[in-house]
Parts: sequence; structure tokens; C-alpha cells
Amino acid sequence: MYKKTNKKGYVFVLDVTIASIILLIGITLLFYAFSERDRTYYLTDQLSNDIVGVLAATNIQDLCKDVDTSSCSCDRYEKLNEIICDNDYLTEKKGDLLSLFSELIEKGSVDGKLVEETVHEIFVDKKVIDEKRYGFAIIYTSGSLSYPLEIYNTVKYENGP
Amino acid sequence: MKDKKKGQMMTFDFSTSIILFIMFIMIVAIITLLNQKVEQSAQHPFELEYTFTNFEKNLAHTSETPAIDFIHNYRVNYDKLKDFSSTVNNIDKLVLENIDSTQGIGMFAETYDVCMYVFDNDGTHLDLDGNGKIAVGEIKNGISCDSVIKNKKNPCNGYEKAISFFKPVLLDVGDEDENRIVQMNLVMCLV
Repeated sequence: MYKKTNKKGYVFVLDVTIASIILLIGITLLFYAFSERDRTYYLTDQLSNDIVGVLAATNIQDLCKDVDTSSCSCDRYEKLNEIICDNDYLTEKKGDLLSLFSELIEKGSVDGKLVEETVHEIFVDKKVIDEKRYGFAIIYTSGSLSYPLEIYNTVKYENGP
Repeated sequence: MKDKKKGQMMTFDFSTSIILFIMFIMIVAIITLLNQKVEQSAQHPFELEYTFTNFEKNLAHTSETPAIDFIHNYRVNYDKLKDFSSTVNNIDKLVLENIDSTQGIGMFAETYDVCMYVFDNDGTHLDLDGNGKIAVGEIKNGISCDSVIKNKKNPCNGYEKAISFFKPVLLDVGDEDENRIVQMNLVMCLV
């Protein structure tokens, strides 16, 4: 008789425990659904314009010194240094970065990969744009070209789009 | 007979628990979905998208001495930025209103509290005034954005909404070795 009552107790204790766990899970879910969080809205509608804008507003000579001499250097930007100082692609080392990249791509003076790496270095490596949150692309169109040229794109297409 | 009754009781208890649990989950799911709908509909006035331009225009038209027009066409003059950061505390009007008859964006400084800061290439805050100030602006009760951000707190804590803009700009230090493209930020806290 005693043993039977004890068994019944176990069943009820187990029932109460499971019910309590379920209730706790529910309360936790509710708490997270309604708890006040700091919500910040990032407005990035202008971001693509701004990326092109800053490239157009930045001259080669803003980031590289002695560009026409053998002591040419772009100390902060290794890849840009490679384009401007380590090679003879350019006869004219003046003008803005956007024109520079477009010209190099259009003429095929350098491997597109190097231009891509330079853009990546300026914006992503240097923590100007968090590419994990904001992807971006720079497309170049010209009257002499019947198709747009991609200077940079966060999205990589392995076997075409 | 007694055992049958006991079994019925247990089954009833079990099924009631399951029904209650399903109802509870459904209520939580409905509430969560409704909550998301509210979040998606969170709107901001379109004028806010022009705050950077408005800020730049207002800086160019102020007649302060020394001149504080530190930003022009994606180019930040570091010397002027230092002067600006060490002399100006509250930037709400400069960002949102119109100064000296410039066009403006039709907003009022009382609506938002604004903070400005710049992230350098190593991810740290740029020293804005040369004396360790990392943010310009004031929030509630005249507390400086600088002190709040230095304490690693969100300046918009306790506000209804926070809206953040950033813009890549060229930091012109006057030396090709030090010039660099950095991230300038404006954070607006809705009062």
C-alpha cells in the first residue's frame, strides 16, 4: 500500500517538473520578445554613391608622394603602391582614384584582380566598410564600351552569375 | 475499475497539458510575428538622408573664427576638424537646421540629439581635437557624447529610436603618408 502511493508521487513530481520547465521556456521566450533592446537603424541608401564619391574626390597625390620620381611611395596602401609606384602602367600619375581604376580596367593595363584588391584594401581592410554587413559593387560604364565593366563586387561569381 | 479511472485522469492531465502548451506556443508565435510587423514599419523622415549634406552646407556658411568648414566634397581637413571639435559642443542645429539662410532640410534641433565621431583604419575612434576627444555632440541633460562613448555606452540609451549614418571620407592630414580614407559617423537619437 505504501509503495503504491510513493510511485504515484513520483509521477506527479515528474509532471510538475516537466510543466515547470515548459513554463520557464515560455516565460523566457516572452521576456526576449518584449524586452526593450537598443535598436539602431543604419541608413545606407547613399552608401554606393558615397563610395564612388570619395574615390572621385581623392587624388593619387593625396595618398602617394613623389609619384613621378623613383622615391614614389603610397605608405598606407600596399596595393595602391603596387599600381602607382612599382610599375610603369601609367604615364600620367595625376587625377583621382576613380578615373585611375576605370582607365586601368578599360585599357587592360593591369589584371582586374589587382584593382579589385586595391579597392578591397582601401575600404574593407582599412575598416571603412564592414563588408559582412554592407556589400557593394563598383561598375564602370563608358561610351566606348558596349558593356559595363565591374571594378569591384562584394559578391563573387565563381562560374558566372 | 479504479485503475481505469486513474488512467483516464492521467490521460486527461497529459492531454490538457499538451493543449495548453500548444496554445501557449501559438500565443508567443503570434505576438512575436506582430512585433516584427511593427519593427518593419519603423519609418524615419526622408529628410534625415540629407543630414550629411545639410551639415556640410551649414559648416560652410557659419562665420565662426577660426573657420569650422572642415568637410567639403568627401574631404575632411584635419586641422579644421580639430578646431571644430575643440570649440563646438552641440551639433544638433548644424546637422538638422538651417544656419545663415542656407536651404536646410526643414527639421528642428529639438527633435534629435546628434553625435559625431570618426572611425580610423584600425577600428578605433579618431582623436578629433588632438586632446583625446573622440566624439562631438550633446545628448540629454547636456551630457557630452564623448563621455558616453568613452564609457562604451550607447549615446541613444533611453531614447525612442537611434538612427545612424556613415560616410567614407578622405582625412586630409596634410601629409601623403598620413592621409587616409576613414569612416565618418552621425548618430541621431530621437527625443
